[in-house]
Amino acid sequence: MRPEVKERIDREIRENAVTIYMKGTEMFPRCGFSAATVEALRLAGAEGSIHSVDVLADPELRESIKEYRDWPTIPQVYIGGEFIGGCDITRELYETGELRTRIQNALATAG
Amino acid sequence: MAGQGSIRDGVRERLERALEGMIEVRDLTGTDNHFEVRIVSAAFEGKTPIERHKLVYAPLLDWIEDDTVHALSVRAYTPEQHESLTKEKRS
Repeated sequence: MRPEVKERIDREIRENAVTIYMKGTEMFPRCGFSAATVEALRLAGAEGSIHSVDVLADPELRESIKEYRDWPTIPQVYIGGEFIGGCDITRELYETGELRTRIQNALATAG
Repeated sequence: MAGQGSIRDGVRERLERALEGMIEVRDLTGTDNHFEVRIVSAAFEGKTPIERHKLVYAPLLDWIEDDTVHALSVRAYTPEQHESLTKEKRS
């Protein structure tokens, strides 16, 4: 991964309380897992605060994000700069209520 | 690719070689490339959800990379978790 790309991701996940790297956009997801993950984030209180990045629009980012946290699949969710996981983990955390707590904390910190 | 066998069987065989436990692979779409795997294994004990997923991804990385496996949903439980889930369902 080129250092510029790594810096871009570093900055993006630091500056946004909730970031999702996905296929398609928040409004028009192009993959069922991406859509379901956005939905879990919304239901957990992130509506209006989700920074979504369409990896289909950027082939280099699409490859780099897989290396970034050594995670081979998309979508990827980051909350408060921390890697959360993909669709399964995000939904599991939603079901336990932990996703809401993490989002609230990240939004509070972002002020 | 997995020769004449289905990718689903290939996924199960690879997982069985990598992880000891109960392994179930479902073809979600009937297209032999979207799967859900459910695994109950002691290998997940003391592991975070991220670490558990990585254990499952590891033997399948080349197939994920070349899109042989287009989508993979993972349910990873320890024997203890599986036991309590089964009890919940019964009661």
